[in-house]
Amino acid sequence: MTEPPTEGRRSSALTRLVLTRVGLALLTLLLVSMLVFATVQLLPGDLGRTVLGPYATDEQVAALNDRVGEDDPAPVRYANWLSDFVRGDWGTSAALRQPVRPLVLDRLANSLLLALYALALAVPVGVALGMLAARRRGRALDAAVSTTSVSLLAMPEFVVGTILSILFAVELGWFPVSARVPDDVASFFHQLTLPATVLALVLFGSLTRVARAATLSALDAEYTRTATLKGLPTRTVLARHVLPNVLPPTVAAIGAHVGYLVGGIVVVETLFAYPGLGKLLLDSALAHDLAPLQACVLATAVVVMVANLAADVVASALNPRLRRAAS
Amino acid sequence: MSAHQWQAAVGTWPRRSSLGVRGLGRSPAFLIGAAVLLFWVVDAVAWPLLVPYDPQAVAPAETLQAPSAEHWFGTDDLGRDVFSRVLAGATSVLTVAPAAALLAVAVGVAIGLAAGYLGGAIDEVLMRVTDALLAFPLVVGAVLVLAVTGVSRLHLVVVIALVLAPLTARTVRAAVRNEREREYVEAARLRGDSGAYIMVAEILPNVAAIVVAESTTRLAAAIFAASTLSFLGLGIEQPSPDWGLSVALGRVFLQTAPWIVLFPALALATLVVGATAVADGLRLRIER
Repeated sequence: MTEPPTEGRRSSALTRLVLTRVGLALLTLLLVSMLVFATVQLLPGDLGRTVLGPYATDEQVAALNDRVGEDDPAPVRYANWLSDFVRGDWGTSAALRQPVRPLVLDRLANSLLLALYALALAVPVGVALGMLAARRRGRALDAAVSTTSVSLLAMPEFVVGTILSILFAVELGWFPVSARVPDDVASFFHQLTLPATVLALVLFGSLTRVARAATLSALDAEYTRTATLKGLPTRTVLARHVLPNVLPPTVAAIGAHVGYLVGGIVVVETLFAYPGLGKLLLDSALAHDLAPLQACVLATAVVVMVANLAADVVASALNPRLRRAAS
Repeated sequence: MSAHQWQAAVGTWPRRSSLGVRGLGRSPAFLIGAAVLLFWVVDAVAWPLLVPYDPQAVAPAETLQAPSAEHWFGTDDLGRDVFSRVLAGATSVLTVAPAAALLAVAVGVAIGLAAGYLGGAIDEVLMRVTDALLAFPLVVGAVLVLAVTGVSRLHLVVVIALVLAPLTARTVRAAVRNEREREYVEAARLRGDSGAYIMVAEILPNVAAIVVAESTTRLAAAIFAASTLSFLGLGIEQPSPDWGLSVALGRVFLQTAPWIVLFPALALATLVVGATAVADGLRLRIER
């Protein structure tokens, strides 16, 4: 081990890391946009026919397709679509007959609210139980936590959601069966607790495993033994020496699981009829409504990239060893 | 290479890793999981012999009845017996999921073998592509593809396999890279065996244990994916008694007749826990 780097070198290494990752993320986004555009082109469906309905004549449909450039070659349409998209024109939904951008941004805000609530529920409980299981390694509690988290990881969200709904919404009547967008704090907890818990349970399964493994390696490390031998109380050792080594891998695991979380959101929003991005994505796919479908997938990709990036940056900012390795 | 080293290399050549299933008999989680899985597999084939009623028989006089001695799990909105439908509903998920898992493992093993053994640029390209696929949300990709291709069981199998194959490719690649440096591979190379022969006949048998563990893990994931996509309306079509589809369609009766969705959901939960316990038991056994 060499001397710890100065604060300045540290932050420049972090900046370089962030810039590299942003560049890579933009490149990936461009690839995703091409992929999405190409896939959506294969969808059966005629834009003019969808907009004008079944009673329009073939001439009217052809005229509309010509006017909106539907008959141009694919690369031209891709370039037009991308430049419109970047400039904020995301097109119009043929099925809902409204501009896509405010619709998608509105739904995205609803979904983020739900996802952040789920994270706030899952992270503290997952980390605490993972650390507890590691301290009781090999005992009944450890086995119970491991078995539960493995089963939760494999359980489809709609199964967990259905069982919880029957228990807490139908039988006990604590929460509504379908969730509306909350307009104040009380309705936030009333409407979103059940769907957020379903998402949190699945996340919790993976977070507990990561936190347990990280705690085990931190407990075995020299610095923890030294701290214990120095006579520090267990609570201080856990808070000052173990927790800082558990948080970075946990944050990284959240980043890696954002993709799964998005998938879970599609299911949970469908189950609870909650007007979020996931439900819009599914509805547009089933209705072959191209403009909102493309926008939803791209918005999802952006969110996943940003979350991965943020998780990486936070994880490396939290971890002194990684910062040193980057410089 | 001296004659002595050569002898040592040849001596280790017919190394076959044991699947190490002996100790599994003592793991209660594995045994219970295996029993549950076996029950559903038998049921998926033999349900016509087990059901008390025809799962498709509509009875307008007996709609939305609560569980009773006659109808153990109640009846649905068309008066169909939920118990019979739950027993019959195992077939769709237990045909789609194993087929998808097998296809995923076959594709994943092929990619993992090629990437791990050949290395270099091929490895780099294959791993970048799997990284990109892994970064994309599973459900979003499946929704997009199934919307384009249309809903059918074959499409469902292919889409799930494509989504799961990258994970297997990664695991197999890591195992193959370990094996590549061993003496028996070196010996086969010196004997002048072709790369394809070494991959399939020499390395593959030695990573067989990992492939078996991968298959069961992917089976659990495929059950998850198949039932989720059915629930979203992108998998099995009506009037199949498929569990995911039953939950999706019965949701409107959640308040008045929760048994319509509760029992298919519980059935799926037991199947998932059973498959996971088996996969986990095998994985832990092999890692040890």
